[in-house]
Amino acid sequence: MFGLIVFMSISLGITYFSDPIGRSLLIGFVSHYILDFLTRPTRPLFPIEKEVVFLKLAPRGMRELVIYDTILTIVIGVIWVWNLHDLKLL
Amino acid sequence: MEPSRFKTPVIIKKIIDAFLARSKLIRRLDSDMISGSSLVCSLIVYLLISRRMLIGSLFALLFVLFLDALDGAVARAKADDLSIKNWIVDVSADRISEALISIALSRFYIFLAIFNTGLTMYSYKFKRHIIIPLRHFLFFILLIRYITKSQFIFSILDGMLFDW
Repeated sequence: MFGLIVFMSISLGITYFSDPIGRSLLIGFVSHYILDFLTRPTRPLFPIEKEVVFLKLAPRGMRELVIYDTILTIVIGVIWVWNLHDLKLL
Repeated sequence: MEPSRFKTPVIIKKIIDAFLARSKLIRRLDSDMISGSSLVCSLIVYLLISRRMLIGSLFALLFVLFLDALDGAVARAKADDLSIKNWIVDVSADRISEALISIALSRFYIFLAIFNTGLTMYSYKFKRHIIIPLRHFLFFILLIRYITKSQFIFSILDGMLFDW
């Protein structure tokens, strides 16, 4: 979460110069943390706590993990693209 | 041991837990999986808020908050409430969920989400649970916006929170 604070702060700063660029960066950083947290064992409070946590939502086999990762990335990607480009499907 | 919380929320939680602990279904669920599910559902909240679908976002946010309450209740029903791992999963899922929802909102809300993440780190370091319930506030603000049809309230909220 230390990384989340740093990169969200940078993105927030950039929104004052260019809102679309700042928000795009924010989307990229937050997506990275969501995917990591949902698919892999992580250390959310690093560097103050090194405890590794895993949500048990993702499969542990390599093949299954790749499929799970791909589906999740596509779902998140579709939501971002859908929303940013205003496809008027909703 | 997880950081200590304020007394009033603890008392409310104990009452709810006493009620939920009787359920066999609750003890069969996994609290970490519920935290992950609430994170996935936050994507829907983001989508609905950014599409300005007020009623939809109210219901989606209510469901996310319900999952958030449920994961804690499940953990306590299984008597692993004191596990620090459980606390870390819970607060991390909450902060990432807030960060995700903040993308659809104003710079002020993004700042609050960053500040809240900092407070989480502080809470862990000093063993004192001090966190702003941002999504709960957002829910009530969305509800106020829906119930009151006041243009004055709209203009304040839109400028401060929604960026609409």
